[in-house]
Amino acid sequence: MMLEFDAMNALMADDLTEMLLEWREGDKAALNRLMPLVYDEIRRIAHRYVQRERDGHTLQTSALVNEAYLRLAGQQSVDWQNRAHFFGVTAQVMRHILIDHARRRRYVKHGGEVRVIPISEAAEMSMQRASELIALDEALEELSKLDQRKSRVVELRYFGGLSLEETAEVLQISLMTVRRDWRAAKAWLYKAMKDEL
Amino acid sequence: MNVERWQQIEAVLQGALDRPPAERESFVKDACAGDEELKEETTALITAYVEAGDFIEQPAIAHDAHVLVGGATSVGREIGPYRIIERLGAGGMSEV
Repeated sequence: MMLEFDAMNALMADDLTEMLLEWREGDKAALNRLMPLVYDEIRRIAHRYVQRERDGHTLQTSALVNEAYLRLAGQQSVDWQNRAHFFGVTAQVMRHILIDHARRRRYVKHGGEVRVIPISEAAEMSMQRASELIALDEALEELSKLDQRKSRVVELRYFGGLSLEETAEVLQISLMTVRRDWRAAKAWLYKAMKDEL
Repeated sequence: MNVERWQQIEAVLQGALDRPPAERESFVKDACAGDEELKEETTALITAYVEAGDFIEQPAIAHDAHVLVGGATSVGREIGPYRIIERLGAGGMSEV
């Protein structure tokens, strides 16, 4: 589709806003439509992350996610509610992609029929990393049953790359609360994983 | 551990982490007021916190960007409960 970049962005901006509204109002199918868009942006983020790393720059993931949102929304000044939801969705999508990859990686090892051919050796997730991610995902799931807010804090920070301050803004809680949630969640998750692995 | 128990544990945990390491043991003992299980759970979590160090401090993408970039890429994917269709070599397509 060879539309002008701006026109394409504008189309996507309307779609994204609508989807975010629908999702907020409980339309889970809207999330399904959002996912491919967000996924593409996440891959762009990952590309740039890898590139900058090669160039020796350290990178703030959240800055990239913020840019991704601006690209998708096609606007300079952002409605905070949309932005907050975008960060929430992105974190969930990132988590899903990585855990999905980890599961398939493990499935391959145990002789499953699914075969995943990596483009290069370096692109393959190590078995150890796959196990870690799966354990973390499961522990996070368990934590969410005890304390949903803490689980969301971890999802936003670890998978979404948000800072403490940005997490506070997205969840509309104080920075102090985020700090306390984060440290308690860290302790709980670390212990849960240690007991498991 | 249920939700109520977690809330009890967390209250003690937060109080302990608010205090310097040297004061934590006595704080926990007092706060738990004879509830041995509470004391054990909380102490274990304090230990875990200290041991955790920079566990999950770096976002996943720092570790796994290369996976997102160059991993088993696919054409025409949908993501969701979500079918990812992948190429297995030239001319081969398989559903995951």
